[in-house]
Amino acid sequence: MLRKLIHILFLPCSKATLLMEKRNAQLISRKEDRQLSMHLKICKWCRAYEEKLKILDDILKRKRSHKENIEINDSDIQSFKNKVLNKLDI
Amino acid sequence: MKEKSQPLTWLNAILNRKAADFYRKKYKSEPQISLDHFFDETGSWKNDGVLNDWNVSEKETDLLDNDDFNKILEDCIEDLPARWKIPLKMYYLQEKKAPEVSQELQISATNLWKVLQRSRMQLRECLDNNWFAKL
Repeated sequence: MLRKLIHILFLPCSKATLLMEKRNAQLISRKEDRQLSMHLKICKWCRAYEEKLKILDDILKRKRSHKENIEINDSDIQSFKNKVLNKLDI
Repeated sequence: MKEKSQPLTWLNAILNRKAADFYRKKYKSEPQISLDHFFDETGSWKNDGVLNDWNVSEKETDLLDNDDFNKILEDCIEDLPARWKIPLKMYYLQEKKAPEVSQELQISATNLWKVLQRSRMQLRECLDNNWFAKL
């Protein structure tokens, strides 16, 4: 109950999770950053969520580099094929 | 124009305009992003699903090599409504910075945070239900 009261007074979880997005993009104000840190100290739910966000963030970021690798390989193959074709013409 | 077809063409024109209006309205209005699914009226978490332990620390590196996980992750992203999916994809897969994304999509910064927040909430839940809960 006390926890709930603190949440309402300080920062509701719905707002805290929004601030996490801002912090993630490094576009959070100092005041908001302090608020969020305070909130995370007392709220285990948001702590758990933040943990998962980090994992998700990491996965999504690496997913991109995974994809890029594949794309680069494809274009490499294509350019290689073109080279071979060019040489065959000559 | 034949006399017979007139009432029908007239009605068709009305229907067309109505449909166009409907979509115009739908796309012009700022998206209402409701968090009711996750938070109660005081803004606290509705359920404890978020507390599930993902236990990824040591397996994290090979999650992306796992085809099943990739499939689920992609499905989860595809399940998001288009208006949330596009910002998320721009943000992550194209590595765009937040101001660029909101400028390109013509949405306010505040709205972009809300979209990202909402879609990640859903992504988190989707992965929790479809992957981590089944490990």
